[in-house]
Amino acid sequence: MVALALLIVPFILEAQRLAHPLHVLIMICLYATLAQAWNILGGYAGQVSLGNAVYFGTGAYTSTLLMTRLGLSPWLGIPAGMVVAVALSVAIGYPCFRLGGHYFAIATIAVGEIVHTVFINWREVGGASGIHLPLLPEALINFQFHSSKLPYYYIAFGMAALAFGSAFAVERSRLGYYLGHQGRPARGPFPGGGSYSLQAVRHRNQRGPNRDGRHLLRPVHPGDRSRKRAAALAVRPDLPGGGAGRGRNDLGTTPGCRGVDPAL
Amino acid sequence: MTLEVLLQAIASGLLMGFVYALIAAGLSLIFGLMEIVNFAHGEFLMLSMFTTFWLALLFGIDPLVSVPICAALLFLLGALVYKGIISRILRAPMLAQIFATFGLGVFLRSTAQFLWTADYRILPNHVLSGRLDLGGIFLSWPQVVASFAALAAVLALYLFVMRTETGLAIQATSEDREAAALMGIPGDRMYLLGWGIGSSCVGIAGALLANFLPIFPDVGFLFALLAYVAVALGGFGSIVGALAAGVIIGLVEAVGGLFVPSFKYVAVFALYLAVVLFRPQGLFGRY
Repeated sequence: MVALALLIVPFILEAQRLAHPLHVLIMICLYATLAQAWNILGGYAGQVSLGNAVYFGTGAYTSTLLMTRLGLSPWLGIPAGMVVAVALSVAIGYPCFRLGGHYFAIATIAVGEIVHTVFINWREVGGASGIHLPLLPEALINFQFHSSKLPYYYIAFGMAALAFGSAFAVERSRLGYYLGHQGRPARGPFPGGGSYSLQAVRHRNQRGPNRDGRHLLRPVHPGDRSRKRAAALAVRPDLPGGGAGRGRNDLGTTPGCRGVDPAL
Repeated sequence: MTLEVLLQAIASGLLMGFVYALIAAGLSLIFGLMEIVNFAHGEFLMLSMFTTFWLALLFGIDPLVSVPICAALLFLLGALVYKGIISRILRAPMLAQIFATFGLGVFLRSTAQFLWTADYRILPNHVLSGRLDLGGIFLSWPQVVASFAALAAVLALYLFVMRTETGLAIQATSEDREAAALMGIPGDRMYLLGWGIGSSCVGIAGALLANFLPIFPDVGFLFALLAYVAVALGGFGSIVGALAAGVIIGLVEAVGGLFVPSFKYVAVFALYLAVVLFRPQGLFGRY
């Protein structure tokens, strides 16, 4: 029912020429995606990562750079961005996951600041002023729509649906069971896999969604990976259900989970 | 890059390091007591600096004289925050605790910006001014005084926690709240005291920093970040660790700033990550 409303309301808004509410809806979808991605690590695994903006920004920079330097369509840039963000998250996660709880949170803040400083000073990627997207003719392949923002909305909605779908899939998969439930981060030997690399995988899976929504014709700048965004990202999943009422944070309520809860 | 320049950097780094140590010590005390990281610590610092500013502007109170006033006011703030917010989330999941203090920090920062605008303000110094010349190394008096006052405060805190009855009571509460309660130590009151003292530490630091740093709503962020890193580097719950780590961070920042000015904080954080990866509990940590 809600999904139906979400699909139809934008059409109505567009007909009424209400641009701002449509924009708000687009941002809602974007933030829901980011929140769900954070939820996988924070809600299920109980690890608070305050440095997620890094992956968001990395994905954005990757696809934007590919577009400005090589002329690649953002549709190709999105998977490329995902790959880069995922690689970065594994690189960061693998050593950092031996820390737990507060130490991990602070480590992610530190990493975020390092990346932020590096990008501000790196002239090749635009330094502190960032990169501006070139204005291209309106087309799906260019990921730019000038006459209305409606296509952006449906893309964002699709992304959000994908993020929710993948969170759902993870929750029911083996990986989901390995993660334990919030508040008791899974530690120790897992059947069939090392403990830390598992969490790195967890870290990785959520990076994909983090990357998709950047092409709303905004310049990509280091502020995107700023702490305010990280703070916003970090705070948003705490809304009931991780942003839209459908994510479940407590695996402990899933029947059958107890038997393989690695926290025990 | 002469020896003189290097020594100058080391001296400056040491001075700032003591101030970082004071801020970190307050944070460490709070964490050691109840395992809650106060993510609003930087905003407490900012409030203390603004208090000093307004006292100087409105009542002509010299920034040095404001130190005890700020200490007292921030003690009250810490106690209020404990009573109003923290006491309710003591048993909440870690996520809730982190976000409660994080949210408080954002709230305080935004309120400060709303009330006082984002403009940078600076205080003229009447009592403390000029510089100290140590054979070629120049140190500004406000910074020297701030730094040694901070060092004295850290030592006072250490002696309080280690040698006095109340300090031992705080330690007991941090080890096992129920057992301490059985011994007649009121856990709630100890937590309140811990928050008050931790906040007044940062209040002292703020009043000292206001002597020579610009004051604006976001000023707390960087100091808080360095304080978290200092606490994690030194080990949560350890005041000695906070002192050591604060000094290390001050030195790395200053000397790193000599070589790669734009990346000096990268050096600090990279050092932190390096230490913490080999020794997750920090240098002197117990957890």
